[in-house]
Amino acid sequence: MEAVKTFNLTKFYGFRVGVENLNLEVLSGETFGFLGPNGSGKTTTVRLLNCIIRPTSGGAKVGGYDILSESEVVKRITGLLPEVPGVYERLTAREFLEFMGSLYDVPSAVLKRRIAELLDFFELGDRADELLEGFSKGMKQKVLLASAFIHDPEIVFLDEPTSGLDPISSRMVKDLVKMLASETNKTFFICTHILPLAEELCERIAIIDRGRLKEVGSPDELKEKYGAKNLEEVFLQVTGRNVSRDMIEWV
Amino acid sequence: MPSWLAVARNEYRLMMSGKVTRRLRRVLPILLVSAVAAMAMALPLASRSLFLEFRIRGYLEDTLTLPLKLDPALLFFAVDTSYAWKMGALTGTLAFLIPIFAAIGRQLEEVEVVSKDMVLSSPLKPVHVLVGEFIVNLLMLPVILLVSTFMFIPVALSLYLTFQAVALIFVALTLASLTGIWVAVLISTYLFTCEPMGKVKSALKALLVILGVAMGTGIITLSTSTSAMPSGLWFLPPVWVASVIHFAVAQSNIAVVKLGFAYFLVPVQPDGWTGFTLLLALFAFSFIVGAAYLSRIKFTSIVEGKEETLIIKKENVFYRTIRKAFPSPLNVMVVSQLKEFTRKTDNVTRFASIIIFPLVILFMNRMMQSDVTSGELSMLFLSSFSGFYFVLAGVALPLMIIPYIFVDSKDILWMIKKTPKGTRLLVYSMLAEALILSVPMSIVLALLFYLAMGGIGNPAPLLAVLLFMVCVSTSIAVGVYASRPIFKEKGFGHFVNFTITFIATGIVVSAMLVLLVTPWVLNLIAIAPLLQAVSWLPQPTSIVIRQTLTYVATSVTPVDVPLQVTGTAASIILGAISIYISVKRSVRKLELYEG
Repeated sequence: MEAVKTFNLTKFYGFRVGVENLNLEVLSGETFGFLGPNGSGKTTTVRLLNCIIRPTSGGAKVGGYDILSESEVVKRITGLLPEVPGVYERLTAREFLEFMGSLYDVPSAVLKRRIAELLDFFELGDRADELLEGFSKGMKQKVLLASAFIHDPEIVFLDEPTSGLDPISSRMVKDLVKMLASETNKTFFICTHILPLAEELCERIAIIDRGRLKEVGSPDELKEKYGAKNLEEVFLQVTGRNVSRDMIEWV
Repeated sequence: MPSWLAVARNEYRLMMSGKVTRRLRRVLPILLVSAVAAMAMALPLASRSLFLEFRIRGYLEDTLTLPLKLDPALLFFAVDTSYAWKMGALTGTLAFLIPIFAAIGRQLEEVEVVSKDMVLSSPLKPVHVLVGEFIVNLLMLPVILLVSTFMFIPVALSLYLTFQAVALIFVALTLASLTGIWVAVLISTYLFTCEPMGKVKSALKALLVILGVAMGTGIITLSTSTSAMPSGLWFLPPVWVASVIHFAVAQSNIAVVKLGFAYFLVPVQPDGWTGFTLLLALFAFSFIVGAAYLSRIKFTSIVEGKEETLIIKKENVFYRTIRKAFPSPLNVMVVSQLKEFTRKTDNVTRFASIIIFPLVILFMNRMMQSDVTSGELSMLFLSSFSGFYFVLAGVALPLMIIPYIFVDSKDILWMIKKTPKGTRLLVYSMLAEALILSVPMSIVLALLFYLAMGGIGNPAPLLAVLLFMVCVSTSIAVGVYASRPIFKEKGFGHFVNFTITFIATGIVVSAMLVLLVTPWVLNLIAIAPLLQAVSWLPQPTSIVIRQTLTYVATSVTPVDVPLQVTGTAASIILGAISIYISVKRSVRKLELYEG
């Protein structure tokens, strides 16, 4: 069964293309990588699939539910780590997670236990009662990651999950995704332009550029197709971005 | 390019970095200077023609000026020259304080947006920064002169403004502005070198807001008051400007003050030339102090402050009570929003600074000689309270909260929109939060206004009406901001939203007041033409009759009960409909918001 299926999903911001005729299938329990350069439409796609914005045309189903007519159910079964680490700066980490859990109607006893577990997992237990304004970018990212899992969603969207994290925390996130993907049948939709991350975690990846889907397949399939040694070479070939030799010499 | 000029150019670019202002970068200074020059030429010419046309004719027809006609030297004083003094005090205050406010405000922002390391790693000397800042701040001078010119149009209508008078006004205001700009640059340099951190920065922002509100209220009160000149304020620099300007306009240090129906001669303190000397001395003193300070600054000694970590283990009674008062999950949302708002010092101080309004009015009323007779105070109280202050307090309260709730939810909005009923909960919680904060403040404000206006009448019904008005205006403000969310702390968007909110609230609240008040004051409306007519009778007969009529009219119990009930009901229904439409629109618009 597909966890995510889009049908000619299109979003325009005025005359500017966000995504155009996106047709994508992500299987249930799959860890799916969504790659693309800056401004290629990754975040727009995630926002569309999480019912935060409405498509200009086309549609999509998430967990079998329509993003337009059943948006409330879609929101309940998905978790999101947004691209921008936006938190209420003057709440403590515990208060923030309580706030997010309440918005998903998590029963208070369950919520309390999950907050404690997640804070411990992300090694924030000893700073749970400090205001978030004093947290570093990486620590805020950890709090947001915790909030994405607070209501135990079936499908998790992670937009640049390791952005701002130190190598240890980054490893922790990768292990978390691997563990949850193998043990809980959760679906992960990971947006990133960190190619080794995608290569390590994702069973299949899609490459999007200027709002259009360019390639879909497993990392090995794509490397074979483009005769590339690694995903970086595939990415550069698909997106047609190459650093000019002249420019390097000039620098 | 010299370093100081590079600093000035960079500062100017930062100042003019908005979407619209960016396009005006090249032409703005030329436009401003040309506009000031044009106004300086036009004002005396227009004033002369208006003076000859209206003033002389008016003078000859005004029987009240009869005693003054006996002395030809006082002929041209047959008008209230204290008005020129009042305008002088207003423009003088603006000239001193606007540069200071602007520079400190910008510096407090710059600490956030411009990397200090970039400046410190460049081979800049403190003098370069100081001179560069001073030059770019000089742009405020033509703005102040232009604003002042507009403020002097009423003076030009009633008094003869000669070219010499305009020149002297400009010199006084330029001295005041230059002093203000220089002090502003010194303060902002100090802030740059000491880098205020966290709470100090918040406290400074808060102080600015309080001073701004106090200044604004003082100016509004001064410009709308029917009172004459204050006494005992000779030591304030804006008063020196006012004295110079009065001398420039009236060519005398004796002000003609109209109190009630009579004219009095009051000496201006300090006199014009003393005021001018004091201004010059202040200007020179500030530059000497600045130079001494400048010689001591070293950028290498800048040390960054350190924030203290705040740990909150237990929720206080206030939040626990609110948590119990609302259903779940709205209660968590309201409490979280409230914590986010109230834990920021400058949010709280900005909000609390609204108390300054009635306090300043109270202070000004005590300082100034009033020409309002005691019998007229009840009328004044009713009209002021139900008109200006009602709308002002009703609009000001939500606008002290709503924009900042939106600013604070800038990054988290997407997270909230992602949750199942997030947007609806966000709107409801914003309303709840604004009301939780506004209602107690409304009560305090109403009581302070009541005291400021002399403690006349029964405050209970006024308080009830004010609270309902706050509910209406809060929902309208949420509706406007949800339709046009602004996530930057400052900017033109806030001005647009403020204007829309002010107009929308003004229309609804005024209509509600008309429906509510009219049936109760039919008797007052009925006698209004009579009061007007009586004022033409000779004194003291007119005063006695007016006071008696007003007393009777305000004391008589209205009899048309059905009309009063209908008016009150219609007013409540109108308010309720406005609230419903605003909330519904807020949810819909915020759902559709896409950044």
